[in-house]
Amino acid sequence: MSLSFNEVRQYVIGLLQNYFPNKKILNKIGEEDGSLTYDGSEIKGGGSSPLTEEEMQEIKDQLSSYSPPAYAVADPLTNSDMEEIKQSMAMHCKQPFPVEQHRYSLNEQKVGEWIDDSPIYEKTFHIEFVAASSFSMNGEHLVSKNENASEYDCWWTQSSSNLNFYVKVKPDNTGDIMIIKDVTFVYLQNGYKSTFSPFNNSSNVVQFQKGFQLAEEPNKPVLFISTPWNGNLYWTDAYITVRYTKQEV
Amino acid sequence: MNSPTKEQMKELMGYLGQTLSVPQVVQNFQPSDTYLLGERMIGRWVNGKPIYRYVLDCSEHEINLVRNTTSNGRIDGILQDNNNTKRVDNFLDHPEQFISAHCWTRYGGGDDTTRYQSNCIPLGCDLDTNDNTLDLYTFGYWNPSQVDYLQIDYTKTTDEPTAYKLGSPYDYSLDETIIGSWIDGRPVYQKTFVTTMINDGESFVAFDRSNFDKILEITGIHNTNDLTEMNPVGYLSAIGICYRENKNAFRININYSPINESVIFTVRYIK
Repeated sequence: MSLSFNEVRQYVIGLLQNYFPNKKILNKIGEEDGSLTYDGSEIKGGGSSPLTEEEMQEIKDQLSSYSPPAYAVADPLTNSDMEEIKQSMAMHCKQPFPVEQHRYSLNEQKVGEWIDDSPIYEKTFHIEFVAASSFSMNGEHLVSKNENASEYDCWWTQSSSNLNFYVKVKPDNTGDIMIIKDVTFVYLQNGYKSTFSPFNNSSNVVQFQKGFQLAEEPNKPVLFISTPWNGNLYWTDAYITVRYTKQEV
Repeated sequence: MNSPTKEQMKELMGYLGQTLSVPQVVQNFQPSDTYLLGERMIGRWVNGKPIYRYVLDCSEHEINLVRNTTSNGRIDGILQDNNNTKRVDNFLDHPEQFISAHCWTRYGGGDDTTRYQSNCIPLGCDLDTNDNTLDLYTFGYWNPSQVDYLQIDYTKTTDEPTAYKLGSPYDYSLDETIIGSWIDGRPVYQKTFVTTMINDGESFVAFDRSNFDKILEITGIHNTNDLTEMNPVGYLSAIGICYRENKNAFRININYSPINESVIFTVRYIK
């Protein structure tokens, strides 16, 4: 008797949704010494108080009458998923820190699911600006030296009191943009040596606002940053992490 | 069908972040952020109490945010249902501390009015204990009637502190904790700072420059000591935090003044 990954996943989801009532199984699953073991292909009973055959059968029986969330049906684990899980588990066993849920990457990755079960993707953009000795009106400091500059456009405007800085990031096939997760700017400000300010409103130093506005090009998010004109700014790097769902084509 | 008790659910949830057994398996299965309507436990607050995330579908017209007041640049929406019921306990279960609140609005444009053009707006929370209503607000433009989804993270008065961590980025701790990895593979650290009796204007919280290479994110809340009002740090807010190298400290600047304030902020950084 063994359980597949998908069965365990569905079962725990069922538990979390108050669907299954067996406290005995619940307690066993929670034991720290490992009430289930993974042999590289299957999950089985193990540890000091393993799930019995009957309990495993009960899980299977309960799952047979359980309606899993739509995404579990529409997006079951594939062989490729299984390989990824195995590698991930192996990595987790060896890595010095137990949890790595927050993986920033320059590559697009699936990080979650939206309310309608559609996947949420995440991608980090790195924009490295050409250093300038001072902030100048011609915007030369906003010239990027990234090789992948085609992934975004940068421009800026200035009003009497504000510097408005725009970045249009262009993830592939991006549809509905839901979340800006993290946005990081590293910059140097004249008179304060260096100040690290990841987009927080901090008046009298540098005041950033982040948000989106509609892009000229449909469905492409534009990151909008506004800061009061406040002396010389020395921009160096920007890291922009966006989360988004994709529009079905 | 009998459901597990709350204690049983806590027991299971508490193990989700442990390094052995099924919880770790599940953790590898589960995406880091899965949005579900309704309430679920997502982490642990600095005082040890579980954090719950409640996601409301406003587009189903079961929930409304009705523009309430506008003063000093603050725009409020008050939470109510279609029966004009405004009591917060109609939505949230014994809220104590508001950790964060966000809404998703749609303001498409032209023919494209049915899709989210990215508006995830952080909101402040203002609990009126006289009539038990909840005002949600920002200091920037928003239209409460255009909100489709509302998400509130909070702790409950009915919970006791727990030793369990869920192993999620929402496990807030005064201790430095690794929560992930940066684009170059270096660990991402997270640490929460708690300050009390903060005055309006400028304050500093010491954190030596040698502790980090880059700061990736600063999030936080500014609240009254009675916890009835929470104001998020950052965008569309009147409180900001940055790191000031020549002070070897975080600089907190407050332009908005609930009384008896405290600031709790969380920093993510690499070394």
